[in-house]
Amino acid sequence: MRELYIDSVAHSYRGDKVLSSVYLSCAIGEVVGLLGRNGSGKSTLLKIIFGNLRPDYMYMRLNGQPIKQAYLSGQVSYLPQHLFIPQHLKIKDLVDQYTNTYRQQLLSEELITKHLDMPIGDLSGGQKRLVECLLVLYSNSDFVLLDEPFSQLSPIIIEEIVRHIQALRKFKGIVLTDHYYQHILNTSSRIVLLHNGCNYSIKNKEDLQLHGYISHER
Amino acid sequence: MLNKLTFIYRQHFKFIIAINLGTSLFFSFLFLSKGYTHYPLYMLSIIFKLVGYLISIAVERLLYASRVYHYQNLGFSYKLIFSRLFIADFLLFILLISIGYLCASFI
Repeated sequence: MRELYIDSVAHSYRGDKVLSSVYLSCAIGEVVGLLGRNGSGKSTLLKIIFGNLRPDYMYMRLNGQPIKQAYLSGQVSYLPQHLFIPQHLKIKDLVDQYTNTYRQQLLSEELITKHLDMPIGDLSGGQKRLVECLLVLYSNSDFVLLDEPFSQLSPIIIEEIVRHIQALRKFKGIVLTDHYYQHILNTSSRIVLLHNGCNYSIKNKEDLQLHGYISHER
Repeated sequence: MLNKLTFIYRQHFKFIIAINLGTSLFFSFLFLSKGYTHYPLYMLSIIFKLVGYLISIAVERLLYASRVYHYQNLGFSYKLIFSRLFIADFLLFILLISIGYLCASFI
């Protein structure tokens, strides 16, 4: 089974334990929504999975093979919270470097075709974020980690990103985190809540209320 | 992979390649003009090459935060990018000196 699996994740910042015995798995065809309050360790967990951050302890397998840094396998892509692509790079070059199998699908997107010869830095903030998100989603990797892809975006761009996630979910495993929990609930096939350094499986909105992620008044 | 690595070097490492290649060419010409029996010149060239590598690392450290996820999403770590660049540069330096030595021997 093609799966990204991580368990026993423990990580602390200057003595403060952020993650303790956290586990997460994501198979091809799954969209795993990762929820949690600010500072609960969502981004930390994604960085640990990607290999950008070294935890105190973890055990990770990719398609059954133990690995330490997922990005070196070329099978895992990561969209960080902030813009990450150097602004002077042309969209055409980025499409060439990031994509292969799904290149034609990406090239059928109007935003991409219209701005192919333009540096990514010349786009508006929302467009930059969308292009970065598309490059990561349509990359050659089997697993995609999206860290707050909907933040600071207009509803129309959020809908656009959701549409692409839905289109690619058959072929990829996607781990998604954001504070717009309604989008996460609608998009994901499975929800995990990070709370007090541990993870909880969430079945419905009531579970989120039970763990204090949303208030009972909503 | 080679295509991606070439893309990274072409887009982001022009300055670093220029200073390291410049150092190599300067010392190759110095060896050609002074001869190949001045052993302190070998030491000096190695020291300058090391300084060139340290400057390269220092420059990239300044840009690390803004570029790290771009490189990692392309499947490369900084360690890999630098090690391949420095190995290729040092081999080229040795090759330049060797070619210069061979040419000087036959003239």
